[in-house]
Amino acid sequence: MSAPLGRWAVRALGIVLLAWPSGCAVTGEGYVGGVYEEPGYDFGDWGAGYWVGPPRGREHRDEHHDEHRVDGGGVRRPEPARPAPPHAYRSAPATRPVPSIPTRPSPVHGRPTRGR
Amino acid sequence: MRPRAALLGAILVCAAPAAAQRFEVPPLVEPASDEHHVGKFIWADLVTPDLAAAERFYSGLLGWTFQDLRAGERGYAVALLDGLPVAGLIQRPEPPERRPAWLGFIAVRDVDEMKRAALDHGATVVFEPKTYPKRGRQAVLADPEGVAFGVLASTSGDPGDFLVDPGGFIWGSLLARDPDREAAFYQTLFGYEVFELPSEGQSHLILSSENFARASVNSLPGGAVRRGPHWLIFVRVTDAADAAARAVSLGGRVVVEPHMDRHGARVALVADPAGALLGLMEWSDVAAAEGPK
Repeated sequence: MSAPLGRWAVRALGIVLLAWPSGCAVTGEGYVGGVYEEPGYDFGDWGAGYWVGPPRGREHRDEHHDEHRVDGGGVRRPEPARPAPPHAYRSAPATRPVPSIPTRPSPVHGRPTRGR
Repeated sequence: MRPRAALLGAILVCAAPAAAQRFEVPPLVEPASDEHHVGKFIWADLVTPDLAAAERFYSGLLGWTFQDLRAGERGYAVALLDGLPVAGLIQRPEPPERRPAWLGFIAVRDVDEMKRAALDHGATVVFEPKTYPKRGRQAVLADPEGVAFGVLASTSGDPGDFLVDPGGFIWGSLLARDPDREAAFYQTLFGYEVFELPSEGQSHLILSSENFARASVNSLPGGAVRRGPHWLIFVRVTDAADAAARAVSLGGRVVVEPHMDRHGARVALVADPAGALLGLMEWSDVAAAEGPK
């Protein structure tokens, strides 16, 4: 092998070694994500009245929890809180309105849309 | 000249694909921020057997563009909405008796700690935690009912709490056999507040964090006997009926017809050409505060 060819080969080998990890290696095979699921489109009675979406903001679960009653002395007192049914989760206080999704326009997006 | 030609060939074989195949998922937020919203859905991945077909469908339906990170038999493409990354599309062969699906990722601060906590409360690991330099660390877990969900600790911060543009992911709904226990599981992991809302005899629970609704947990619809629990993720659309019709014209199908939901606008479920389910949700400020019709 001549000297010029030897230098050329060293340079080429260097390039190959630099390129190898991202080019010839198996990349992305171990990506953490992407899950197939069981087949089937059975959504039964999903229709009017079966709601999955968020409320439109500050919805109260008990519309009457702020009502006041007048006792014998004419003093208005709050209704006593009804006992909450037992749940596996900790329920948010009944006095808390249900929050909605973020609705402030994005300073980055918010550009005119194309009718999606 | 022959040795040179051989070397040049080797360079081309390895170096040329490097430019197209370099697997480096982009950061969620640019420029990076310190903003974090634990419990918020911040990313979604679709697994599909036909990446090109999926790109055509979602481009036509939602106006997404794509950045292909790998060429060849198995690919990955980043979906962009107005130039910003919103989702990943992964090409993998479809196993028997399975169907392509969308998978949502929930923001966490420490993926490994989340994994430990989840395992302590009945979860299993689908994909072990893995770090991607610009993206962060992520893992895929399955909740006690076997429903897969992703967790992601973004190194560039989480997207801000703003109304997403049409074409962006706006909502997640878990349809569960036991909403009560599932809500408790997710509350334990993510610290959600849980609110009960009436929904014609079914459970309709809202999971919130930082005073924003993040997702719902519902009973499986009545009569749904051939479908197990699963997460559904919804994209925002301006007109659900129009989007559903467009999905059909692009080779998809309508699974649940557009109809009014709690927020006073329509939702629908469509399936892409490979069968992956996607929710469509209208959200117009014009309809704000009107309530369901």
